[in-house]
Formats: sequence, C-alpha cells, structure tokens
Amino acid sequence: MTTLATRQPRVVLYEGSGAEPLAGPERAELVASLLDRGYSVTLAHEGAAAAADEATFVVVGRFVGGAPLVTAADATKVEVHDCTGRTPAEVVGLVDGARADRPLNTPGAGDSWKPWFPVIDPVRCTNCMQCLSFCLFDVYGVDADHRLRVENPSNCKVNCPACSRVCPDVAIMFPKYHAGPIDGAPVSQTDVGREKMKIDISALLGGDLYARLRERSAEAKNRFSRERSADQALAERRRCLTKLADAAAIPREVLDALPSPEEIQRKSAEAAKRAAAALAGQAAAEGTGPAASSPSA
Amino acid sequence: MSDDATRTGPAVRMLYCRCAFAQVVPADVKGAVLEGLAGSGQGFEAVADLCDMAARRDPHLADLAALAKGGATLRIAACWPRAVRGLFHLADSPLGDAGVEILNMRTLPAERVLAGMLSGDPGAVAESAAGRDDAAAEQAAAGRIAALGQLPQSTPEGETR
Repeated sequence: MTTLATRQPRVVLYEGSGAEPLAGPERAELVASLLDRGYSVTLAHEGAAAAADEATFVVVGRFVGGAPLVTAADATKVEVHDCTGRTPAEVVGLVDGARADRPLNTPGAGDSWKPWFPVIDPVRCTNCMQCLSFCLFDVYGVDADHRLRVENPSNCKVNCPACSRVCPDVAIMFPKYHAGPIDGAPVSQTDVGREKMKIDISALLGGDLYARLRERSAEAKNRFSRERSADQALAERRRCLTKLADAAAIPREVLDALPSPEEIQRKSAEAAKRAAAALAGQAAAEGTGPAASSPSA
Repeated sequence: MSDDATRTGPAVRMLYCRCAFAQVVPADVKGAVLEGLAGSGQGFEAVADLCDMAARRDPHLADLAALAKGGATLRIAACWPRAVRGLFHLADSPLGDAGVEILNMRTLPAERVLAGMLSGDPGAVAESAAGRDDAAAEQAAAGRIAALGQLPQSTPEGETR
C-alpha cells in the first residue's frame, strides 16, 4: 500500500573537497540507477552537510582519508559510505542496505504507485468545481479559501483522465498522459472548443454520465429479469461500458471498478454537495452572496 | 553547494526529472541529458519523478521555488512547463515568473536541453512552452525507430543478423 505521507529517500553523492570525483560515465550510470530505483539524488561538490535534509539518509563518495561525519537538518545522523573501488551497481546495493525500512516507491515494482493524478493549471482554473462534483473518488477538495485543490492524489484511478474532459476551461492536466493538451501542452482555441464538446459526453450518452451508468445498470437488471440471461445482461453492460470508455477515454478497469449504482448515486450527491458548499463559500468570501448556480456533474 | 554558483554563473540551481514511472519522455533524450549533466562537472539535483514528489508535497520543492524567488536561477529539465508549474503549485510551492527556466524533454532534442541547462538558452525555454510540432515529433520518432532498426537483431534461430 502506497502512502504519500513520507518523502522519497534522498542520496547525496559527494564529490567536494576530501573526495575524488567519479568518472563522467560512471557518475551518470550511478545517478541513473539510483533514480530508476526511486531515490532522489543530489550531486554535491561542496557543502554536503547543508545538502543533507531530513529525507537524506546516506552520503556516498570516494573519500580520501575516511568518511566525514554528516548530520542532517533534523540532527539525525546520516550514514556516510566510502564507495572507492565499487561499481555503480555495488553502490546501489550499499544504498539499499542503508535505507533499511524507509519506504521507497520503486518504478516497476509490484507494489509501486504510478504517480497519476490531476494537476490543476492555476492560470486557467476558475474554481467552478465541475471536477470536484464529477469525481467519485474524493481526489479533489477545497482549501481554506474555498479554492479547488488536489487533496488525495493517490485516490485517482491510474490512466483515467476523465475529469480533464469535464473541465470547461481545459485546466486539468495529467502530465503522464500521452497527448496534449491533457499532458500540459499549450491549450489552443481549438482545444477549448473540443474540450467544451467533450463535456457533453453526458449529452452524447443521453444525460449525466453517472445517471446514464445507473440507468444502463437498471436496464440490464430488467433485461436480466425478463430474459433470465446473465450472459446477455453482461454483454449489454460490456457494450455500454465500452461506449463510455471510448467517449470519455476512461479505462475499462476504472469503469469495471465503479461502485454499485446506489453507491455512485450517494457519492455523486455528496460530491455535488461539497462543490456547492465550496461555491457558496467563494461567493461569501467575495461578498457576492450565495452562489448563483450549482455545479452540474 | 557554493561551487554551483561559480560554475554555472551566479546562483544557478539545476533540477533534472527522470520521469521514471512513465514512458512519455523519450528515453534517449532523458538519458543523454543526464549523461551530459553528470559529465559537466557541475552539481545538480535529480529526482526520480517530479509528479511523485509533488504528490508528496515534498518540502524540497518549496526550497527550490524559494531559491528562484530569492534571485537565483532555477533550471529544470522535465516536461511541459505548464505541467511543471502545476506540479509545484500542487505542492504548495508555486514558482514565480522570474528566475525559472523550464526545458521540455518531451519536445526538445537532448542537446538543446543540455545547452539550456548548462549555459542558459532563452530560445530553448521559449520553445519548451510552445506547442508541439507534430511533424517534427513524428520525424524524431521515425529517426529513433530507424536507429533501432540498425541494431543487431536476433533471428528465430538465435543468430545475429
């Protein structure tokens, strides 16, 4: 289980006075290997002690005359290892050993978390709360000033960019998406028009996305009771989900993992309520009275 | 890291993002940029994934943003500047307009990124923020595929051709 409460551990590669520098290719290999394991790396020439913050747990270097004592900003002792004569792979092993039980999100590891979540463009966002109202997974929240914020990034469904499609201002990015403007590429006027069309996924599917899901589910249930065919009902559900997935670029796994229609309804109502409260708070803060309109999902 | 200031000009800090959890930054570009930085003899910061760091609201991002606000230059090799700024904002460490130079490894060739990181290149910074040139991107991708095609390939019999 991934927790975002802790920082990724950081390694300082020290090459300042009292240490021999690594050769360029060797240094590149070592830094790349550490990064690919998930560590942050500071290549420091001077002031390793200053570079060592509370995320730093180890300083490595080819020290001449012994490894110096380094203390991190929070006064915890940082392990210092002399890596003279060691290959980059051996140094990575040394670092892994020094890490002990500090959690590390390692790319490609079975239990790793792919950092996939919405990133708000503060320049474009108008705090309309459409996304907060749309998301069923409590990814969004509001700050003390009733402004939208990404509150629970790890709740986001990996590879699902659906909320970016409902943003009328094209203000939601997923930096790891494969195409613009969702990946953060500049937004053109064409994009604004296109995205505005996309928010009408609901219209395309004959109503609000989640209402349509509930409806489809109910239809499937009815069909099931009429025809007594679980296979047909499942096939219908699959067709419906495929259509939704195509229209909104929602991965099938996400749709398959959606909660029950009742739960969706409850969550939608809850999210809409939070969005309405945020809008009312904004309006009150701006002295314009209660929000004139409530958001639609 | 006082020597960084002397080697890259007045108070320059470099940050490299490996984007280790995705394949959206061309591997050859991010590999060559890292090799160039590592071979430059200058100090720099490297992170496995800026998105991961932002999601954790890592205070180190605030330190970096504060440096740029304090008159230093922060050069970042990562992806789209709009996304990078959004990530810092998400981490409650918004970047100011001045003192920040973001180089886009998704669209620029490695040598442009590296030159921008090591010496500063306003043209490369401006290009990083501009829309992608699909034709150029396709051409670059075709070049990579062609280069891969020239690598020795294994036949079903296990021989190299």
